[in-house]
Amino acid sequence: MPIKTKRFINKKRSCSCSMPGVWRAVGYSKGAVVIFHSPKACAHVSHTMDINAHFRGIARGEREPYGYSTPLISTMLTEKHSIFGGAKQLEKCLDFVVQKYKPQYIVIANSCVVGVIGDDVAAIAATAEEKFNLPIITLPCYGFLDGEYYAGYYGTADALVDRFLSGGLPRDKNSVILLGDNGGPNAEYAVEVKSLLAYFGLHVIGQFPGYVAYNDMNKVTTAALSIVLGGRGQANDSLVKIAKKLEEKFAIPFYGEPYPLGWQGTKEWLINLGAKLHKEAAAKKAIDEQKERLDAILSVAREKLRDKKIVICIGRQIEYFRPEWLMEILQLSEIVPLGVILLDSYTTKDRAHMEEAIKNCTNMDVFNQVEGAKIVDAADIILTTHEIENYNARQLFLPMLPTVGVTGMIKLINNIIKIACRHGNKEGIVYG
Amino acid sequence: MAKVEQWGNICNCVNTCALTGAAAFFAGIPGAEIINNGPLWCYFYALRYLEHAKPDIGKFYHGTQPDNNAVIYGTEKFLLEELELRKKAATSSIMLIENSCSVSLIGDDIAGIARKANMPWPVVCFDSGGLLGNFCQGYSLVGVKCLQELKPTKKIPKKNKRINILGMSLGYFNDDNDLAEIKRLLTLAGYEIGACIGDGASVEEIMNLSSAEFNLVMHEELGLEIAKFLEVEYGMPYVSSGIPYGLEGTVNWLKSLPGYIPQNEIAIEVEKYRDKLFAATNEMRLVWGELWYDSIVVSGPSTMAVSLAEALRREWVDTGKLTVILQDIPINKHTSTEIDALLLTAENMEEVEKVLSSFASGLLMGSSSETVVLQRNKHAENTQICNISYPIADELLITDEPFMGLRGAAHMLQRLWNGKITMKVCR
Repeated sequence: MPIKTKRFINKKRSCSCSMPGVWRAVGYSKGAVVIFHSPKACAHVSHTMDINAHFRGIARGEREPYGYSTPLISTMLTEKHSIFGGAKQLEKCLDFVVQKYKPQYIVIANSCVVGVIGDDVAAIAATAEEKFNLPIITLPCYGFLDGEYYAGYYGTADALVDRFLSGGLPRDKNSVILLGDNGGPNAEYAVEVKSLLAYFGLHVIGQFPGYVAYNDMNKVTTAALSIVLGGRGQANDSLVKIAKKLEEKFAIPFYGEPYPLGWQGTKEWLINLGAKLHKEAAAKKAIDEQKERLDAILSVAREKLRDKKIVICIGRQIEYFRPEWLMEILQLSEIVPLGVILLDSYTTKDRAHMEEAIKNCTNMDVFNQVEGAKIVDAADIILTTHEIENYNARQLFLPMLPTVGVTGMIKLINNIIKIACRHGNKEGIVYG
Repeated sequence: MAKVEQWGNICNCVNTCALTGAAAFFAGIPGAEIINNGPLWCYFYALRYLEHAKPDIGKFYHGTQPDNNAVIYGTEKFLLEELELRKKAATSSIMLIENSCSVSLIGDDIAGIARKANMPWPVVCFDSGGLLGNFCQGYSLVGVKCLQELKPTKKIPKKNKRINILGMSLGYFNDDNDLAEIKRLLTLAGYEIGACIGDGASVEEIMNLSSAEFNLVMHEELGLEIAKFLEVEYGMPYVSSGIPYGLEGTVNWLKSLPGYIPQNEIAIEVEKYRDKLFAATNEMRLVWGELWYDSIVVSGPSTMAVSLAEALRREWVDTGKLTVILQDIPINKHTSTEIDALLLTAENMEEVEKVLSSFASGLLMGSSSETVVLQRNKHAENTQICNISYPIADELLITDEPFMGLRGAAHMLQRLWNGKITMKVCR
């Protein structure tokens, strides 16, 4: 049967919108108000993201830290503003926001509509800042024009550093400021990193930018170390720039090594952190204890997944999916997959990048989507970046942002075991 | 119509854009293809919204993904590329090309581009971004536009007791089950179902819509403008009597239909449900007490919220205060003696914020959006929640039970009782 994938979107050009990135950068920062200079519905997109994130957090037992989110106001541009401009509307909206919410600062995100009609938002923000004696931040990003999600996120974080971090406070010894989001302070990434930092006697004083209240903003400069909760690609590059800026301005050293993904990644992350802090013994202890946790789950995996025919389907670009961590988990679990199928989503160049990455970490056979159909037919379990339609084989969705550390490996292995233990012909994908 | 729209925290209201509404109308036409001429982000959110009701929508809904330069040089290149793909890949009954807001401003001649592509099926072009308005505006305006382009046949003999249904959409929660119940009731009442425009009618059925005696408008915010257009252009009368919720509500709704003659079969069914519901709830009252709430908030699309609130108070529960929040701007002003406070998110944003932030206990009938507000205010634990509209992230509804009609009356009462019992048990 030919392989068909669900919701298979071939990213050709623009991808995301800068406005949700702006909002997320201050999404839980008390004292902030975000204005979307946009049609009303653009704010609904961000609001929907927030609703989904809220319930994902509840589902994982990750309560939001403050039971709070930053007010989000839209200037509610309509057709008439596309003719006469939206400047007056933004000015009136700023008046309203200042009066009603009494914010400590305002961030304005611009929509693509504003990019087309050409409102001088920077000038309006500067005038309003003077009028209200209130910090008002805006960025030269306009919806999907001139930068995407991370441009909005990074630009806002960068502006917060410039505007609100002045230093002059005593250093908090052994303290860490986390940089980035990944679901916030109670989500898997931050929780795992905090538990690893405990081996080194480090404690976290906050997560910048999205989770620091205005009143606590300058306390960021008291950190003895900043750690990037990045990942790879755009997100990591942007956050490393923020980390470097904190180092330059406030002499806060940063640790921006690739995140602790997979066992090799976790080990390297711990070793390098130990070297940076001159706490090699702590790193060794952490590695030994984490290894014990990993060995325990691997012995279960080897027993439960023995003889299972597993196939891997990949359709994501290399910047959104690195195959190394998955191949490592399979190798440690002593699983030899039937092969890797590259789905029909790649340009020739993107496909070559992914093939090269796969060949660098495994000698598995790589097939195209047509060749792969027979292999998928023979599989018990499909580990896939895209849901495959009309297959009874059990499918596990490979996450865009895998959980870090040994905890992340345990989670993925447990999910594969659960799917392998499924009885009957239950369809539906399991989210890894 | 609304006065000047009030600003406020958008997280207290729901506002899906016209782009999604327009796509929803066409998603309700079998065989239709939809091209979203706008950024991937806008396309993806409309897609995800519609996927709730139509999981395979991705096969018929595509995006052109114009780049930065498109705002200067236009989207022709991207649109033509997508149209060529569609010509090769699909056989369509009709196609919608919908522009996002920024693309709408560029001034591309979309219809001209479509002509150039020489598409083998009818193409409707529509500027439908958020600048135009929200979901219902996108839906109703594209509905009219679709009829203007298709030009349904006028010279068809009228069929006695044949009716078209307007203003139902898969973009509304539980729509498929509600539509099935409406059709069942109308058939029992002796009517013949004509075209369900925007929710199942094929292009052929739309072309023959004038054979119906009258048009029945369900959700006014979706269907009324279409009904008015058909009245003016086709001389077709319409009726709009709200939505049938509850047993009495359904009976009254049927009575309001032109040419309705009471049917024995319906009377028997009403009596059956009345006895069943009375017996079952009486038993529950013995243990759990009355279905009483100090305060109730109903929030949703306007026709649904008002009609549901009326049935709620008349037939299902008692309350000290019933507040209704309308997420769109109703075309006709709603008044009801059952409702204590009627608020529009567009005009009474400040009051809406106050109602939600101070709502500490009672019954909330709305969406996950209001639930999040309550949870963040730490008030959700004392509030019974019953979802009635999108967005929904905290409930799965997969059976075929409607909210509307006689079957819906039983279903809603069951949900309300079980919600109350679950709250008490979990406390």
